[in-house]
Amino acid sequence: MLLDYILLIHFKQIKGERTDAAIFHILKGKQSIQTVQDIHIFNLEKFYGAARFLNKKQFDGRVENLRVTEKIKEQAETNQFAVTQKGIDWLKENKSAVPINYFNGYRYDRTASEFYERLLLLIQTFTNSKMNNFSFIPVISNRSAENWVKSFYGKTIGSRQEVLPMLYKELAMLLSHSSRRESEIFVDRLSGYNVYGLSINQLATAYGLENEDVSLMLTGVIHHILSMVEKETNKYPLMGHIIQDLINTSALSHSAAATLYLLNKRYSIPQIASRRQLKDNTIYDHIVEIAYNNDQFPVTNYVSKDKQDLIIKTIQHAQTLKLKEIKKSLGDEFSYFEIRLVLAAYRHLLKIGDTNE
Amino acid sequence: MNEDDTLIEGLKHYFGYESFRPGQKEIIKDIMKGKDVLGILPTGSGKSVCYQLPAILMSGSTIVVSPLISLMMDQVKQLKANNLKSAVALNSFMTPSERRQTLQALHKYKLIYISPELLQQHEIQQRLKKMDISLFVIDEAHCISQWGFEFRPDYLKLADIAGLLNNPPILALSATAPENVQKDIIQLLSRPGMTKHIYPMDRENIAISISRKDNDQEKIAEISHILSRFSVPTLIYFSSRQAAEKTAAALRETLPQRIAYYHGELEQHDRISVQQQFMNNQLDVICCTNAFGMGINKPDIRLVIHFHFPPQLEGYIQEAGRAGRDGKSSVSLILYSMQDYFIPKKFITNELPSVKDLSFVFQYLSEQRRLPAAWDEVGEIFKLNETQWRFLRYQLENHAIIKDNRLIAGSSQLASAFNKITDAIHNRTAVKEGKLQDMLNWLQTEGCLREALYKNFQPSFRKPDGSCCSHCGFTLADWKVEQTIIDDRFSGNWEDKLKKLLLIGENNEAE
Ligand SMILES: [Zn+2]
Repeated sequence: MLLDYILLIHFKQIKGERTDAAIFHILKGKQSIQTVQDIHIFNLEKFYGAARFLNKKQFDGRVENLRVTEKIKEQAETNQFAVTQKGIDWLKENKSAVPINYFNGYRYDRTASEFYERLLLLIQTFTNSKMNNFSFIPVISNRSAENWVKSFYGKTIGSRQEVLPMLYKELAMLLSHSSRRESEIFVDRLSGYNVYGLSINQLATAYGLENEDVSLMLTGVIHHILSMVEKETNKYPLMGHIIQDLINTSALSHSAAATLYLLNKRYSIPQIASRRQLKDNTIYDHIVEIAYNNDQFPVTNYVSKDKQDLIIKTIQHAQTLKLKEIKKSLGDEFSYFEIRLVLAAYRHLLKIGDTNE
Repeated sequence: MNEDDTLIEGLKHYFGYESFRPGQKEIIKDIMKGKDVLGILPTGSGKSVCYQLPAILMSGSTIVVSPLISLMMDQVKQLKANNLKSAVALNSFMTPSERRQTLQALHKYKLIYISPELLQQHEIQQRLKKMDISLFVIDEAHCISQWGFEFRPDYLKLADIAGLLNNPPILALSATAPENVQKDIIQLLSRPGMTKHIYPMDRENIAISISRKDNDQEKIAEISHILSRFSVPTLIYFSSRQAAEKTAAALRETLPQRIAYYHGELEQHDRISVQQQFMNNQLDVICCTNAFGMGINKPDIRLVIHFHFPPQLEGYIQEAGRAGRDGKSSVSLILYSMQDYFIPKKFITNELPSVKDLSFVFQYLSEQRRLPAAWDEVGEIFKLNETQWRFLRYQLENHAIIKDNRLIAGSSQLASAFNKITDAIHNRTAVKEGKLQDMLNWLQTEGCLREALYKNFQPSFRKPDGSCCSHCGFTLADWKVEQTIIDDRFSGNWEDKLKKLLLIGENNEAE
């Protein structure tokens, strides 16, 4: 149901302006400028990468199910699905049952899994070492999380016995902000000394949920924890320490960040492209991505003020966010890059999806 | 200290065992003398100790060629849990930076696990060439032989690799290799002087039972009935993940046991959790595909049920052999119905390309003069799965049709290679069909099941009294076995569970 709910919100926001594949890309956290643009235009930032576990077959099955139960319907004009009145009603009915507001995918997608894996390994390592058991099988094989826990373990010499009580205090406090069931699920998945946590399907069985919803719920709770820790680090010093080096990295992809670095050093686009052995177009995509992450982005460096005005007017007039159509109305003097960049810079003005979800 | 003492010391120190299992010491001693060894040891007899202990004791590094990435990762995890940190599994899932780091430090590892496919990579070969390799191990060596049940073409290139590495001693290991497969292994590795250590694969403590059912519902009812009487660590094997998932759900409805499913498509965290819960007696029954079990060393599995029979006897022997590694009375039960006959047929066609696939690939090759390099494209263009592709690519390379995915042959060579590869497909299909027929024949044996099973592999077997097989008077009703008590140590609300998990109020044993 949680997955259905999230899918319906996507259909509702997108209003048939994109194919359902675009929704799949959002949930999988696809690193393309199109997907990044979509989440901003349609106000779906929080679900970026929220369901990385999903495969195309599962996704198609769910969409088909929404269609059969008449929550979505193919629109005659666009051939794309849009939400029906029945779907809107269903969303309203179930609004209180789903923890939608936990999600903050665009901010935490990159950090959530690394944070979670550190936490899992930390608990396994400290509980086992407390019981003098040094032969346990870690549930996670992630080199970077392993290295982090190793170095943390080394640093805590002398104060090691304080770690578990601190962890308990902070986790108990954090989980008290989630529903009882969400906390039960979160705790049942943890492994410690002589205990191995439950699998997704075991949790689904135990709590009468679908596998996909358990995964989503866990992701939601992790995002929720991250946002609380980030806001009140002084309340959660240990958790704050775990995320310290993760959270400062902005939502920019590594590659775009490298481009930004060179832009700030006043390199031109062709210079950057040749230095990085990338195509010019890739650098243009980076610039759009950078614009999405910076409200003061100097658009005028790339698109003249007149052109900007024309693009905005055209979009408002045509009432569409389909790039092809916008480009067609504007004509050949306008490049896709210019349109994309204006869309990014004026995203707050140009949004057509509802913003109150 | 004499040599025997040194070995037993090492065994105790590094593995925590008090004594060697049959065959281990003999094989290890020959390896340490620098001999080439072919070791055939039954499943569950501790094959891996045969190379892990020498690897630790000898100078230089040991390479272990293993067919499954998951199996390698399990082994490395297990070694690390035993505080043997200098082991690594080179695999295709590593990130480029992980890979670079690992390759740079490769000489520091005592044990290097690698797949035969990865061993073909030039960069890795160059790195290994510069190292001191003390032993070259080929695990699941029956993969070399086309008479083996898991034929993997890349295994055939291992003799060349050994040459590249200055011909270190070779240890070839398998749990199931009848005479003709043994011959193939020795010949294809070009080591005619190999010392053979062959140990019988029959397991006296496992009673074999076969029961015919009309359909899946009857099978599920039978399993429910049995498990309601016997609460023992149980594995149930299925031919597909859907069947494993569905049956696990059905069994949970009627039984008090803790039941989970396991297959290759679970995320890694879940795979390790389920596996370790089972090891840790947090789980009683696992419904699984053949992805489960390799590398699992649970000594007290009492019951292995085959909901679907595997397409060859060797696979069956391996899977059933996971029962009763502690030597105590255990049971292998096969439930079969007439519908099941179609499943293995499908497996066989899924493992080999058809002649139609072959002509399409040839047509593509003569037009494009190259093959796509990325696996995604291969799947997309030719609609082949990985096993089929592996077979085909090997054949194309072997007949000098392609090199580095480029066409290097003329049209007459193409035509003759097409015929030869067609023959190879037919031969391999015939081998597989023959193996399936052996399985079917065995299921319909009227005499002693044990006798009929092992006569395919070895001259004699030991016949236990009373609990031999369902054709010699064994019935599950008479089975005397210690039952597991299902404990409920993990109940309560999340606050209590979290407190318990984090050992709050628990004495600190480390201080
Ligand atoms: Zn018998």
